[in-house]
Amino acid sequence: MKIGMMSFAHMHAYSYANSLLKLPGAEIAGVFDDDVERGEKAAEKYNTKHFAEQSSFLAEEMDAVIICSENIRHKEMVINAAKAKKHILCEKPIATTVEDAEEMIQACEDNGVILQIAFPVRFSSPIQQLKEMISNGELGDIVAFRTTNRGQNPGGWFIDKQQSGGGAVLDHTVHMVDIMRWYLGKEITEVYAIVDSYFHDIDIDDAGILTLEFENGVIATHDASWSKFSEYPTWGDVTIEVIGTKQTVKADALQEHFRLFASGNKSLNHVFYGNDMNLGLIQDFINCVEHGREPSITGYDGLKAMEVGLAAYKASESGRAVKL
Amino acid sequence: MATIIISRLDKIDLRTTYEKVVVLNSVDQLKQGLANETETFIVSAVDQDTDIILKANQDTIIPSLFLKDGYLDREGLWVYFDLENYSFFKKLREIAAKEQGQKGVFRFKRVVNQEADKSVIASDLYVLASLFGKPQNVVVKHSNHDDLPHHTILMVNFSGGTMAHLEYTFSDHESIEFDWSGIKKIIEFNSKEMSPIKPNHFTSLPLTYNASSIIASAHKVDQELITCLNKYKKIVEGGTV
Repeated sequence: MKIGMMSFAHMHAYSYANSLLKLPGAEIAGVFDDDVERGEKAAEKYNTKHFAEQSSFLAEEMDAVIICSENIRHKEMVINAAKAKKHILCEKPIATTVEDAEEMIQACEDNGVILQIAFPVRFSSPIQQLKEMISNGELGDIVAFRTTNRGQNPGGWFIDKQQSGGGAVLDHTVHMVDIMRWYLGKEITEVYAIVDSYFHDIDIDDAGILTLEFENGVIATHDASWSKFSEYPTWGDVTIEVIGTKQTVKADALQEHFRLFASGNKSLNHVFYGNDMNLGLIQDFINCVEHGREPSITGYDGLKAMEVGLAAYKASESGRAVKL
Repeated sequence: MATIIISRLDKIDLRTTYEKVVVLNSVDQLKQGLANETETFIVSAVDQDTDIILKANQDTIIPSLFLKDGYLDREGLWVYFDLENYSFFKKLREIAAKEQGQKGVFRFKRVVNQEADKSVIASDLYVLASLFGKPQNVVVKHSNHDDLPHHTILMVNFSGGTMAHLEYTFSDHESIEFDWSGIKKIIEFNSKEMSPIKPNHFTSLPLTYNASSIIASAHKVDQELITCLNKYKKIVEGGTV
């Protein structure tokens, strides 16, 4: 299967491309990146051809594309790829507005192509195990969720609202909202939030706490931030605690590590040895294209997760609940 | 005059209590014990026993959960807040004091081994306000009443610059965990991980305190204290403030 990479603006592009190399039958068909220097380097690294023009790239014979551009460009690239009849895996968040996301979903439907959103946390082994426990009734009914997604400030275009559409809250809310929706099978109907810039001298949010309510009364908290600094032992965290009527269980996607102590500025390192969730995501996408099945994470899933992130900004600005 | 402390006996670490104390398992034992009026007594008692103990007219220190409006005029009555007596919390206070004025995110989760009680949350809010400043905006969410365990969420913007989630699960065991994220400083604590004896069931540590700490941290019961706690209880009941 031939997969093209559209933009290496997002650092996840490298990990997705590395995953493609590991999968038998998958081939990187080319790299489109209008940042020519970055695109050429990536093409060289992955031993493929670089295209500086989207139209010539999309004219190539390939089954699917993986889009890892700046958030604001997801819409343009998804629509163009859909019109070129390429199946699409799009980095999260799907877009920066609900209207754009709806247009993207429609374009993919109209052109009969798959649109999957990159939520790799769904492919974390502990996150999947907890999902199975919930499905098996081992936790009873879900009463509440408690989630975090806190990491380091990625810098670059991420801290430019014109290109990212939002800071840490948009970047780090969508993963765990997706997991909560997946676990519960219900939608979030109310969002309260406090969003601010705490940890860095930047003009975009780097901290946010969200209080959520689902349509069936389940309540939840989420902490989204770029609060971790380089000397912290690990990049950050991805956690979910599910309070059930039978028991409370917590899963931490990055918990599987050993501690490495060394002298120097960073005396403690957490060395992760858990499963590669990005590889799981890419494998699933390829399987989805191969079998022409419904993607496990749809454009609609991406839209609903993004909607909550955007609602957090509105809730924080107004000091009131935002109803969805 | 004697000093009477009402407490769950399993919460008291006698190894680190430096006062000479007499431990009593019930209120009935207190009557005999009071023959020697200079001692400090730790009495295991329930809420309903407080009135009986107060009739002894001794200096009395009660848990904040036992405080009632009618106790305002009682002479020699003090309350203590369990959270501020835990050793780990005292260390947190020391570090947080150095960060005053700095913004940060505080996440606090408490599993409480009792039925849902707004006094537990109001008491913690009182203690946390002394650390982070007054709660300015508070959003409260309660889980569905029909579901057990009850779970309550508070989202709080403290005046000192800290945004916080405080969460309570009313269940059949106890634990406290928190983390505070500031600028290039992160504090993390989980009582289940910090038990100094494994398996954890061999010790109540770190969720214990000593009588010396209770005496030193006790708050005189006055109108201001009662008004403040009542305000926090209303916040917990009422939802958004």
